[in-house]
Amino acid sequence: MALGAASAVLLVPTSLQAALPPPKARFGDADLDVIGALARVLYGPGADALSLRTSLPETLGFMDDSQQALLASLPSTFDLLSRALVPTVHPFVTLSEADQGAALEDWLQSRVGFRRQIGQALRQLVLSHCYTDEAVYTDIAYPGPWLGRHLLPVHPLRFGEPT
Amino acid sequence: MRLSGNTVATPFLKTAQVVVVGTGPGGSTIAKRMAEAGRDVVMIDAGSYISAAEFSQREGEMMRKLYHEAGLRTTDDGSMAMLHGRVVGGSSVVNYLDCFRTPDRLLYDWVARFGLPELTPEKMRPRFEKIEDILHVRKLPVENLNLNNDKLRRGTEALGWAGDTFHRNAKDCYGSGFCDLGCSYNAKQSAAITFVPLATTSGATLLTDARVDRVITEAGRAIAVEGTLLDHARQPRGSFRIDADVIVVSGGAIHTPYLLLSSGVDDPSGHLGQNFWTHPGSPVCGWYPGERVANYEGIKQGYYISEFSDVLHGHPTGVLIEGIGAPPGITATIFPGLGWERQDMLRRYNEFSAAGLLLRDKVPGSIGVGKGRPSVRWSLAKEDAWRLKEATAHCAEAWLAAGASAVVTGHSRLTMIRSTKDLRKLDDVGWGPGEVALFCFHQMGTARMGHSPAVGAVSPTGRMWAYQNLYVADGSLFPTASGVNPQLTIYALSDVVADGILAET
Repeated sequence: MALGAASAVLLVPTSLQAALPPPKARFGDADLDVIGALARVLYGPGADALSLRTSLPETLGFMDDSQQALLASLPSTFDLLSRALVPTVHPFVTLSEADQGAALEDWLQSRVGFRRQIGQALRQLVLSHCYTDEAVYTDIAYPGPWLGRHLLPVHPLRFGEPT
Repeated sequence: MRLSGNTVATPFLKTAQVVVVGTGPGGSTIAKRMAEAGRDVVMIDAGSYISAAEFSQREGEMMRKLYHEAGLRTTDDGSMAMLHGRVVGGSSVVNYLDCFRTPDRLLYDWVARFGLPELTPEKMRPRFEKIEDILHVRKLPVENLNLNNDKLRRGTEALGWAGDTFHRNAKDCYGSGFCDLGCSYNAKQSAAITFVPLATTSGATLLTDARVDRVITEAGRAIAVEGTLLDHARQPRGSFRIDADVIVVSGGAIHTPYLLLSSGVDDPSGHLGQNFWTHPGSPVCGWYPGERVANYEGIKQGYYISEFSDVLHGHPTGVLIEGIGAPPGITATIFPGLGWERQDMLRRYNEFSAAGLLLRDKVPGSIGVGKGRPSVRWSLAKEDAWRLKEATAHCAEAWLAAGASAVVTGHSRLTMIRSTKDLRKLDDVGWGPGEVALFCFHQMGTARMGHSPAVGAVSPTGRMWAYQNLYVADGSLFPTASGVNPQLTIYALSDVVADGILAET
């Protein structure tokens, strides 16, 4: 599943904190647009057919409050810091796909630790959700759950249920 | 009796003789022993009780339901994923069932350096025998290895290295290959279906979906725990307080020190939250073009290379190399590249074998109190990075010896090793944060046992030094990293603590 992630936001140096968005508990449309653009770059063709716009907010719902705020801030942190660091850069979602790829690579391979780690956190967050989407399974020839394919009995509990 | 924070009246108020926070191998061992001794016990878990029928084998859904932070927790520097269970039964519900007795040379080290005479191999043996009986621990026959693990075995034997099949706590395992998402068939003998029901059968109460936020202390005694009742959506719906004569914290090596430190308990040792051991690991995959390896099929973790283990064979690298099945969501994060390039690699998903490295770390991190969450302070030290590189090279050798055309490491830059000559590439890739995928499945050491506050956060019976009745029982107790999968050691050390509680209170 997803590695890296919410904690990456904590790595932003104090000098750049002013560029960060205020903490929030949910992904907004703009965040999901950034996620969608990242998915097109990272996953490639077919990304728009995946259910990231629902699965990512669902994941957020299973996290504690403090983690929710960090994770929900990750896409806008990436976008705003991109522009803060290089003022000529336009919002990520408005770049061409080639430029988005180059921009993301720049983050992923950066020699600056916090940029590399935020890039990796986003990459892992997006890809883990892409590849847990069952729409992808056919493409990678992964058969998915046994349940429904193999009708095997559940073993009786040796010590009973905790009742 | 089983109660749920979803439904009990709020505020929920109760008294007990013993309250146990956490129901993993540590907490459930304490609850069982106390209940069998006739104590009135309440065990509490922030997670839910999930039965076999609810384990859907769907990666996304179950990661959210079974793991802390939906499987997204990392170290503060984002460099390593921290995977551990938040469910009744704790990480024993989501582990790969590997069972090692604590190696003798490690026990002797703990006895000598930390003054723990109850931990000699001779004294621990009957505890292991009793625990293994309850958990139905058996050695996996070689013929039950899946292709992935059998390739690791063949590579190991071709190189003349030491290795073996795992002992596992399974009964009538079908080999469905979804161990990390909970067992849908009750084959895995997790704490949730062994020690927890044995505790409730003896009269313990289980309160699920209830997060303990604070341990209340007064004049050298712990007097109660307070916390939050959670609804079905895991949102707060009320509060609870349980007053008790004895309080045992078994939340794991991250949450136990976090709870105690954030509660403001007195720690004269200064060790609480320190000595955080993680067994950092990184994936190493072999590529067998045209062959269906399907590393996720069958028993995912069946074989390990012990040749380079310090605690088993005295090797300075200090690593176990374990065959592992990697589901798609994790595999996708291991392989580098963008777009088409990545899709092309993932289309070859079935052609890859996979192994994980379990490095016995020499430089620990620490757990502190962040803003409403544990702060996990850990980074891969240079000394450990060097050994991780050695371990990666050994694993690559094994895959190549088993016929792999190439080996792919977990680096953010595609690192393909096609022959042993290519192993020098590992000198040129980075091992810093964000440069290599790191996983932590084992958390240990943050309230380590010792004969005095000079060396341990807790006494040899697991008691916090400043309190007459506040104990720890989980992976936090480990004086050092175990160097092997830790579940049996957690059960056994908690059994030692149970003896202490019964003698001291």
